[in-house]
Amino acid sequence: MTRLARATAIHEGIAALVERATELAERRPSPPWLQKLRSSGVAAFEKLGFPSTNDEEWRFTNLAPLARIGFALSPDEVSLAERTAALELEARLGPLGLSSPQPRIVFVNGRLLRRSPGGLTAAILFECMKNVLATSPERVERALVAGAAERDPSKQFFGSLGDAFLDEGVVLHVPVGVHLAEPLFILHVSTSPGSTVPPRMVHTRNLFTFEENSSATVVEAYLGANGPSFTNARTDVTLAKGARLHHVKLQLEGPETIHVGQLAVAHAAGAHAASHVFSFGGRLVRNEITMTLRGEDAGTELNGLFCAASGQHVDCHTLIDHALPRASSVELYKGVLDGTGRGVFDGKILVRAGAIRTDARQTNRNLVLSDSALVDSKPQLEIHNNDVRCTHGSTTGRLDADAVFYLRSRGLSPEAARALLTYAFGSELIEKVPSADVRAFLESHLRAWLPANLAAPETR
Amino acid sequence: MNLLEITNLHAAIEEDGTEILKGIDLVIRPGEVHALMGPNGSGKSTLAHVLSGRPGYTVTQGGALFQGKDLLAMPAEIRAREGVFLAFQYPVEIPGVSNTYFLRTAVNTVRKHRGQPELDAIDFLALLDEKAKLVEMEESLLNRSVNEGFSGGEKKRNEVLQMAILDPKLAILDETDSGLDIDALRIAAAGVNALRDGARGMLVITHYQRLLDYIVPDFVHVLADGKIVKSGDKNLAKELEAKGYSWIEKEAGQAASAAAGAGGR
Repeated sequence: MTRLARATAIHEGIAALVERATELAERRPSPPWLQKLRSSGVAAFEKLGFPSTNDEEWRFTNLAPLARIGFALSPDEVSLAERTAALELEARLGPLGLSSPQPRIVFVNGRLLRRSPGGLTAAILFECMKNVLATSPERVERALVAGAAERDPSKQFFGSLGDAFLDEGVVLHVPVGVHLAEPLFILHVSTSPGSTVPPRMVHTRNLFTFEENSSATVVEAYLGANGPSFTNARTDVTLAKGARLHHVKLQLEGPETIHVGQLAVAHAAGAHAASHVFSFGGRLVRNEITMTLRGEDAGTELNGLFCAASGQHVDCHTLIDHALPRASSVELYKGVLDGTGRGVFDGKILVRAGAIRTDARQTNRNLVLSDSALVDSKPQLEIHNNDVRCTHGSTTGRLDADAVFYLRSRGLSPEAARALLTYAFGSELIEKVPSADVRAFLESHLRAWLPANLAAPETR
Repeated sequence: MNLLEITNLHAAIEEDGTEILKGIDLVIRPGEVHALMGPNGSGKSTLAHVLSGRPGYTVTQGGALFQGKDLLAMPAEIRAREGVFLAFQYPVEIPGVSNTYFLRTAVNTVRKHRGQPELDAIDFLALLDEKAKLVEMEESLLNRSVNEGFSGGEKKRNEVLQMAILDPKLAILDETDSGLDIDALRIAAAGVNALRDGARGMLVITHYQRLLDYIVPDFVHVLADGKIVKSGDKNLAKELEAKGYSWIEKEAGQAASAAAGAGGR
């Protein structure tokens, strides 16, 4: 493709998105603030255009495939074919599948498929965004408008795109002192509409607010079929004093998926969030996490496992913003790259002048299983005061030959030895997940993901 | 049939071609315990590595038969399944793999190869419990990752535990005594002695005679500069302890020059 053709494709890609967003806005009668939010989103992403690899934040990730493929929103009604495909994909979740009793909201191609409140009491709001916007939009107005206002517009192509297409997602509100023992599940299923229809795109917005000293575990799972799809998912979380959240994201879509995910958590004093991201590849996957420690003694933990096979690209961007004293952050990201798979870890720790006695630890370890796999690791520390303890480390390597030989000397085949060691490398992150069902699912999923030439171990 | 028959074995480091083993001849029959002693750099560990199939060495001459089969033609894992076990001098730490899971995977791989039924979880745990007592291994160590954070003594006991579970026909113990205090040494040696059953052969590699107070060998060989220069019974080890290695090396040197002289005549 020539440069001109590429520029034309990108321009047409943007124009098509503008058209789709305008159509959506016309379909949804909304209060003025929401109309304005959507139209400002459209104006912003149209002006920004797709980020290019000249942009430092996007240096290693090329969005050309997204610009070229003409993705369309699904019609409002869920078809029978979508329903069937969604059930089949959901069933693959094993212990997290259809029979799981936990509170759960399921979407297919961005539309609500099912909502089961589990044992949640009425005091806890766990509702789909579309219903909230239709019945009590004032509940989310302030957070949505403030979220858009706080965003750095020069960097927020996908955030603006999300505003432009704001329609569906999950609103969660946990009142003061409420501890939810069972995890809440949010499932997004992308199905392939077949070759006659344009591939589907989904823009989803989750808004979670935790009042003082409340706590919960929320699992967001993204499943997909084999065809192309585009998911733009944003979750904004506010933790009041002493609130605690475990957020688990399972990115399990097909090999042709384009997935851009953003998680932003604002911590008040003594609040603690742990993010667990498990990304199993796609044509282009980008996960951005922003942890803002706006209270003293707040804490955050970022755990991530990203796996990319041949032809796949997984990019992890994290930002931890230490704004006030005595907050702590611990980050561990591990990448497993096979074939021509490509991974990116870009992790920034920002310690502001007032954030004295900050304790921040960041580790990135990558395992490269083939000669043609590649990973770019870019840890960054930006520290504006002297009274801190910050460490970071990044390593990329192959399986330890001594360990492979040790296992072979006990009778394991080279394939079984490599599979066991690769599994063990990733399993460290699985062990940190608080839900036994999620751990069990991830254990079997990681085993199944292991490249066939490693021959996955069968039992644990 | 001989358990192990090494004939004129020459081996070099693959990377730079340095010859380490320069013609080893050794026969181990079922039930025999052979000690291999020698100064640092004489090739003791290299022999253990070559016999167990560790990558990084090239056999340039000679060979080794295990129960009549060409041992050196087998990949490392097949040697293990056929019944050759190497207790490592430096056992490898494997984070994320539980000791119990590892042992069960290994024993079932080996049993499958030998045509024995695989052990289910209950039978395996019974076996593990029995063998763990042999080396006084605490249960907590069984649930931890393989060797991770183990003390030197715990690592060596773990090697003996693996040996007990895998039930090899030939065990090669590579400096099992190194880095052990006397109590740890006693426990490890007791584990090894419990596995002397009249059929299993052992090759005990050590620098010091001390280990041989606990594991009493049937034969002692001294390795110097890649060759076995002297063989005898357990008393040879005591003599070495008293006199050091230099007299043997000297004797070997004289013998070599005499042989060279004889050849020249």
